[in-house]
Amino acid sequence: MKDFAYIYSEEETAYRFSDTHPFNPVRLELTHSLLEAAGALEGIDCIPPRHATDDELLRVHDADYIEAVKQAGTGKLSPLKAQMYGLGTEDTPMFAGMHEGASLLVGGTIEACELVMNGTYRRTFHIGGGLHHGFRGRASGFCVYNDTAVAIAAMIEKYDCRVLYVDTDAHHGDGVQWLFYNQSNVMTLSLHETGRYLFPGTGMVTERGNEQGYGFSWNVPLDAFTEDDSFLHAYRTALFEACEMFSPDLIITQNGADAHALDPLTHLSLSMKSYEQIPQIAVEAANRYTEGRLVALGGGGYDWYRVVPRAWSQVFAALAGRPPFSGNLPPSWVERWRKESATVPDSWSDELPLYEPIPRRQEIEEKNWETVKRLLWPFIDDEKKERYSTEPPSL
Amino acid sequence: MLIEQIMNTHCVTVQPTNSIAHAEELMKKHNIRHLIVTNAKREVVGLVGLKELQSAFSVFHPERIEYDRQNAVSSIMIVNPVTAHPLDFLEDAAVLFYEQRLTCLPIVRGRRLVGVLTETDLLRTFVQLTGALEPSSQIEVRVENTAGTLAKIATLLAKTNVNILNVLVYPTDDPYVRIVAFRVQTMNPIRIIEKLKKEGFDVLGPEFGR
Repeated sequence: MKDFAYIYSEEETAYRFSDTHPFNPVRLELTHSLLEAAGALEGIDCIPPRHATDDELLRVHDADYIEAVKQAGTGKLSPLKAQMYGLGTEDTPMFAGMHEGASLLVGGTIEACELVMNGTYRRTFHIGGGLHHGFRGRASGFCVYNDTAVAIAAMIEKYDCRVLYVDTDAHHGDGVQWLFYNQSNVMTLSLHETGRYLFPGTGMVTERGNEQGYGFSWNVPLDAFTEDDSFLHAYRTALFEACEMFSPDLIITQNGADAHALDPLTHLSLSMKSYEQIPQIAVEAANRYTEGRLVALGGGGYDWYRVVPRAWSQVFAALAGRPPFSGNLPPSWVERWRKESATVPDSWSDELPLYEPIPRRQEIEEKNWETVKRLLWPFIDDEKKERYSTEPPSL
Repeated sequence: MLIEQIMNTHCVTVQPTNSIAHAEELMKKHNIRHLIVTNAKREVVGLVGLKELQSAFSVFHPERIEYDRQNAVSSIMIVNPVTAHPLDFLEDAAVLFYEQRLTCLPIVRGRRLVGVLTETDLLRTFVQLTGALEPSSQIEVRVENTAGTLAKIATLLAKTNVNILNVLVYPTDDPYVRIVAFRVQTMNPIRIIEKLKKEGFDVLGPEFGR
């Protein structure tokens, strides 16, 4: 068994709504070129994604929805019908080749999971995946097909396995959660900013699953201005408790990079420190609970130049079994992309201070830790309850 | 909104002559806290809740509990409970719950039982009314309580081609100031917020300080 494969091809940039749309494939080009410039790709197997078949998509999506996406991609879908499917909106406008672009991302994620489950690789990373808002019959929040859900369904059918899905995007992973809400062989864990202002508004602690799926949907809604320490404490605690309770065969992580302080859409105030550690902790959990089986995906992230390429390269580093990148970014890369944006940074770490000190810090940390405890309480023994009750909110 | 739009039409009922033990079993089986007592013509004659059940036995006479359980439901039920009509407004029902401290409201036509409304149904409806169950971003705007303000905001939103799922208006400590909360169907509310701010609206966001 080999250690790691990286799933990517330039073709994946075809999932492009428009030049000004926040979910822009320039993010993939930025990341890939950064890995290249840093010499990180040497000796790594890089595998191009394939398209998902209709049969594969049908495991999760409705036939009429897939048909609508195909028509949208050839300009044949009427605006009225498009509305029914969430297409042609500001979030998910129609574009030429929509079906092909979206199904390539799905195929990449299926491949990433397949290569791990069949034992070819221990870990894979598909940056084009992680479109967690896609619903059964409706596009939502920049997502057309739900690549992760389709891949999970395929793995369950073929390997009858238990899948833990871990989502650290700043937005709630609603699509994946609702698609497996009644199932006990898929567990979803999402950490996100509360829905008070932020899309999609769901992801409360009380969304715990239904019927057989009760207890297998975990949510940690975090307050605005959470910052690194509180986030990492909540993440590590919830992730290891989920593994402990669920005993997964495979962990899939969604690595949205939009909780960073520089992201224009959200308010969680994380720094690169979190993005260095999130994937390293995921690898640690996989080594302990799944014999190393781990698939990492991309996701949100709307500061294209400053945040996303660095954050996703750190995911690459962790999955390749390497320590986080540090020091200066490759000058050739900086030079190339500064032509596009003057904001391109020089260093792997953030230039401090990233933001003004947050006056409510202590209150926010306490609130977040209460949320973690409220989530875990039904599932842990008295000894742990005692330990978590006395643990400080932030480590 | 009318009661018939949200009421439960599958009602679990007992007869006045049924035993308390039977009522207890029914509640356990259906995982509910109230039973409506009806006669042979399905007319509402009473209501039994957990509180009434508990009052049927005395902890000071444990030896009598099995005996007491064989008593008729009619001996503990609330006789002629408050009821409502399916065409009553939801708001009226809510006031009844609040003022009379009800937990369960049988819905009748004439005296015949046609449905039931509980606290849980009211709460669920309220959550639905907030629009919180559909994927959306929330934008809160602090506005003066004057005519035409809502229209101004809605006109601005219409220009951004974003669908409004829901609008709530709620009061503040200042009677001349209201907060209008919009749920909009987009993940990227930034351009809307910028537009509102440009027109001088006070758009609220997460509290940074105290």
